[in-house]
Amino acid sequence: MSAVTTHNLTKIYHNRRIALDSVSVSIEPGTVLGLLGPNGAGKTTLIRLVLGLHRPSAGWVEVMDRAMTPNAARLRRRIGYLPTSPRFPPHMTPITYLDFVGKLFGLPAELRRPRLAGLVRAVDLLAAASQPIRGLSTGMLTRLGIAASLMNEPELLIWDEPTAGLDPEARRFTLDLMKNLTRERTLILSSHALHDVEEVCNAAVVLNDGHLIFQGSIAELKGKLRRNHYELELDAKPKAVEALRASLSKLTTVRAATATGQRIELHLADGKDIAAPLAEVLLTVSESGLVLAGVRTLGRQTEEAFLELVESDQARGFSRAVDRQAA
Amino acid sequence: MGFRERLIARLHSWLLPYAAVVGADLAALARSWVLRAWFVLTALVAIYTIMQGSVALPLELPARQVVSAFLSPDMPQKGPARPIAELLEWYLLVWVTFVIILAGGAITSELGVVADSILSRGISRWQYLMGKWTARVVAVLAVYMVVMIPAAAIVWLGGSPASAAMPEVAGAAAESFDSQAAPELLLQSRRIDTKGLAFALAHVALLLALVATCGVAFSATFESTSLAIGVAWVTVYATGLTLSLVGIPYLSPVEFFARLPDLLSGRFVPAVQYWILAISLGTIVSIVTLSGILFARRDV
Repeated sequence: MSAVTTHNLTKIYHNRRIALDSVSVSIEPGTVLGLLGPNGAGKTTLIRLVLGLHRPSAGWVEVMDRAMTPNAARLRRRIGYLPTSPRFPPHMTPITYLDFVGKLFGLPAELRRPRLAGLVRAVDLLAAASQPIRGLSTGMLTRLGIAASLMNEPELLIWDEPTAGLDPEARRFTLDLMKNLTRERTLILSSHALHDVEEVCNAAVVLNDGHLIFQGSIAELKGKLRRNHYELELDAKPKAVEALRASLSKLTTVRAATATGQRIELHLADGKDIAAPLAEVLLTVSESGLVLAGVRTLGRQTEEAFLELVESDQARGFSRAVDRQAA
Repeated sequence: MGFRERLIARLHSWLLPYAAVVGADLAALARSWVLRAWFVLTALVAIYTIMQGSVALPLELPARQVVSAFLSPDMPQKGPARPIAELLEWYLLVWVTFVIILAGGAITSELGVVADSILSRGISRWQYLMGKWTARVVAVLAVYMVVMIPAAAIVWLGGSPASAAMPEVAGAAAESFDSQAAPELLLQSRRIDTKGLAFALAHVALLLALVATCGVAFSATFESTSLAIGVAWVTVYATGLTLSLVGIPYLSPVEFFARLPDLLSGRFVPAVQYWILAISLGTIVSIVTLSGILFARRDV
């Protein structure tokens, strides 16, 4: 059984804007999937199609091997959804809202009441449980949204930007909660915060401009990273650092070297094996007699890989369309 | 689990989300300033009209004068049936605008973020639409009945001192029923037929429900609240005007007002009244079904 399957899923709004273009993905049960992409990439459109809030222009969506449609209420009872910046009826209290959500899921009172009590406690809203929602902070609202998405004890969770606008403490709480929840559920996490995805997810789907440009594990995504960008930190005077830079730039394995104060930024030549060029660099540093204080890779790994994917997709442009026609 | 238990469980599972939407929407409507303003205005107009009928106040509200002029400029100033007829005219000519505003925002005002929080749960489009429709129709009819039933009861029980002083009018009205002056004379009559009154109230209730249904249907079709309200308003008034101009028997609003004196004085054929009620109900069911089909096929 597949948790979510889409086949050639396409969404065109008002015959003008292609929001999603022939996206085929398969998400296995138990996967914690990071849905990545820049603004306007089609992430929310994909989520809304999976939930049956939108109808596909072409292609289809299956959730738990059943076709998702706007009237598939029974299927949606197996999904928990947290929208971006969730909004709630302001006059309700967290308790009355969760009770309302429980009713929407068709839960009888004997199931609904104990469950909402447990969730209010779990998301740390006990103190505000009987306050009107209009007085709650952004963090509290997100936690309430999370509780609402769990009211039906869903097999599949879909959270759209759950950490957006949260302070560090609330963000940490949400991430820890996600880690606990994903032990027994499938989670689709749409996020701009790549470090969140890296921390929680074991798989990723990257969309750009409505196209699927990557589907695989987080490790595979990192594997696409340029691993040839390093920085050397030296304990030496700037003149000596500059002299070393000149020596390094003469090496055939070094594409570019720039010195800034006591640091040298190096771009090594492309190649699968990075050990040999790096050894050659370190040997040159050692021969210079300067003290090497540190070596580090530049850029946050997942972010670099993600940006590289997006950039290469944008660079392909026309050729992608030609490839598809040829296929 | 037997068939009966399964059926009950299934019905309960269907009704619970529907009832949740009805309850939440009624609670939201109870806080709506449009509904409150409408209720206060209808109550004020009802009190004024009844007072005017019993003590023959010389003053009239400007809007009422416009409506009276449009309908029948020569309407009599006295008689117990007259306040009822006037109040019903108010509902069909003026208060329908409030009904359209209340119903036109039912779904469009929740599209997007709030709808995400509801329609992404275990509820179908049909359940949601039916819940919204039920809540809006119940709210509209509640305002109508809370004002009209006591108003009708007061008039029916109390009569009018002015009309009590001219009992001969009823007889004259009955005798000259086919003449030009008959409706006015009947309105001046002291006698209000209970069944006729019930039919008149039911007709207007169903027409208000029909207008609310149109509002909800347009709300389920369009993406903007103002567009839904605008289109519903034009449709309702244009339909009323067209039916009046074409003069389709029993369906034209002007003809309905012209027949009100007959209805309130008990001069009607019950079968025809039942047919009119059935046609109104059938139209409501058709519009709800059509809007449900359209709503299930659109993005939210």
